[in-house]
Amino acid sequence: MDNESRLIEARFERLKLATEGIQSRSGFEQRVMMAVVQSGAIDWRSGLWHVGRYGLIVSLVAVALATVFAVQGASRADEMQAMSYGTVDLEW
Amino acid sequence: MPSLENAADRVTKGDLEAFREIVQATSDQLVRVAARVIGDMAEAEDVVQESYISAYQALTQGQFDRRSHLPAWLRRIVINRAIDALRSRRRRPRLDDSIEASWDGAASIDSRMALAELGDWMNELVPEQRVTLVLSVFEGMSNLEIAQAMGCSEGAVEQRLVRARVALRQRSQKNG
Repeated sequence: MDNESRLIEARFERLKLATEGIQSRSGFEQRVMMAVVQSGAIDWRSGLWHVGRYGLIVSLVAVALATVFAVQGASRADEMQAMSYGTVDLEW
Repeated sequence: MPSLENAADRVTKGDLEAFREIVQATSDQLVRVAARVIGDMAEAEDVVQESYISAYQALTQGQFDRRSHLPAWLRRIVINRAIDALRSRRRRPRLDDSIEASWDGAASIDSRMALAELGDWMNELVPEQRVTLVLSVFEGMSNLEIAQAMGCSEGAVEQRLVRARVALRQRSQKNG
């Protein structure tokens, strides 16, 4: 290795050491995430999945509540019917 | 980093928070590589940001091969973007070379000076030579790893390294 090559390799080494500590600046991560969201890169299927997931939960709760009300309503109707029969008997 | 591969899996299911974990774990290294290649911090961050957008799209569209090593895959995207940035810069030279405006207080003055010096020193190299040299000398990658990252043969990597050194040598002789 001649002197010129040695100088080049030494310069490489110096610059390598001096740039070793380089890292992304503060706020870079937030900037990237914002750019990802704004770029429209978010897949419509994943959006649909998120909406669908919550929609599914809401639907299940609604079905459960509807079932409870339906059962309660049916038993109340039976009671009313039974009471009305009783009333008719008494009047008879 | 198995947790990164796990995060990549979650991103494919639309988990944006998992992508944030990937950015947190890889951004410092990717920005450093891009900065060394380009010689400018702000431009390097732009390149890495664009690379993350491409990566997110590829992950959500199922284009990421799960057998691949995620950081190496991301680095490959950044390298390609950096080469594109260097090519467009050669076609359209930058008017403003001020480095002070593009830094905040996070980096030492030595880093700023070194990055500017590196960018200036390698300015006349062909983008592929410049990237190959940075990956070999500064990032310590083997010729095989560079070949895989740049999509070329090991022979091409060796040739670029030799030509880059000859070009730098000629430049210093011309200046000296």
